[in-house]
Amino acid sequence: MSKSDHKAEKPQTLRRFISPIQSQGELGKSTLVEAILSALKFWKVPFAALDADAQHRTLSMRNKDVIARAAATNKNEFHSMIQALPDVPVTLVDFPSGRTDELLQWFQEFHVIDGFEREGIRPTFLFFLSDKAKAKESASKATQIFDARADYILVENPAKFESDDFKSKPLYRLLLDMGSPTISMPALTPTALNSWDALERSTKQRYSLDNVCDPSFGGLHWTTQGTLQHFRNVILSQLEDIAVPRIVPDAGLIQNRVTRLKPFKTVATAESGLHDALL
Amino acid sequence: MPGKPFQSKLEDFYDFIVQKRRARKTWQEITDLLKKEHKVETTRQNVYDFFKRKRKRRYATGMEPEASPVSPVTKAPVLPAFPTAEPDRYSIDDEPKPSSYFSIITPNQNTKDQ
Repeated sequence: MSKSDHKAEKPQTLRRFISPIQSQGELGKSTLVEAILSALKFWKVPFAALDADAQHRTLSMRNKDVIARAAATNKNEFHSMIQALPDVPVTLVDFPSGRTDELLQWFQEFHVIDGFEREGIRPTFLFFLSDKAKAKESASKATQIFDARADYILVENPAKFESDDFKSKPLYRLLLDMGSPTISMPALTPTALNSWDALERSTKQRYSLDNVCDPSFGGLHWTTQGTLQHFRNVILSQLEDIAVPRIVPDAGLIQNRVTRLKPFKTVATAESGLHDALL
Repeated sequence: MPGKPFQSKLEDFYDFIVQKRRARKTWQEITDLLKKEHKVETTRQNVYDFFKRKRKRRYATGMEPEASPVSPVTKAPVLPAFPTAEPDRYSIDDEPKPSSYFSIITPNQNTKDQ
């Protein structure tokens, strides 16, 4: 595929279909999908969401307003899901890992991309830049099939995986050539994650990222809540920077903007201390 | 030569006991019913012990009783089923609806500001 191929004129995009599609698990996929859901709510953009990860159901268990259906488990469910796509600006689907081959086959069999283009729907796939073989292979397969008929958001998650090898591949350069932006997920400490998990176990309830970041939510230590709020703010800020057109088709849909946190203070140091005004 | 193994006089009434337990009768009530309906005199404790023994009993090969139509069944816990769109008969009314697949979230439902 040449550069000119993927610079072909794009049909007008009225709606977005966003989903992860890679086969590797444990990348932070559902966390990012939940962050996008949180961002869409925060921006006050009307959207539709589906948790299609039948095994984990993380998104629907933490977000009570999200439906779970096994739309990636059998072809008929996928077909019905595509047929039932609602007329809203953004549709967010959390596909499970390990279903890339089937999903790619079904996207082609049901002529989904052709139909999407006719309807003004453009897909955005979330690609995690993991060095693991399955992650690279499935990203490569999806890119070869969708090519410039989809957009891609590249995701670094240094707490979960390394990305050096992925970035050395022609696939990465191709994705950059296609204008794919990169977001980096900040690391949460094990203490924060364990506290969140322990709270869910003790109360036998699941809490969304929005729940635990709400200042009136009293179940977590203030340090844990502080770091979760920081995590959410950093991701939402990055998502907002790349929101149009890859997440939201029109900037006019965003009614609420993220308040940017001031960067942490740092003091330049020199061996001699000569540049420090207090020394 | 060893004699015939002991067999409880309640052996013939196992299904009766199971049936009454399923009808939520107490052990004492079953004991009373055995006396009244079958002229079998025994104690509450005997009925309970027999029932417990019978459920755990292992039989020699070839001597297993026929499967009882009212044998106790233990249900395994099952996760709520994932809904699937496979109606028995498909009509135009069964077209997949957005609300069956997607949660549609509008600004009015959205969470409070950051």
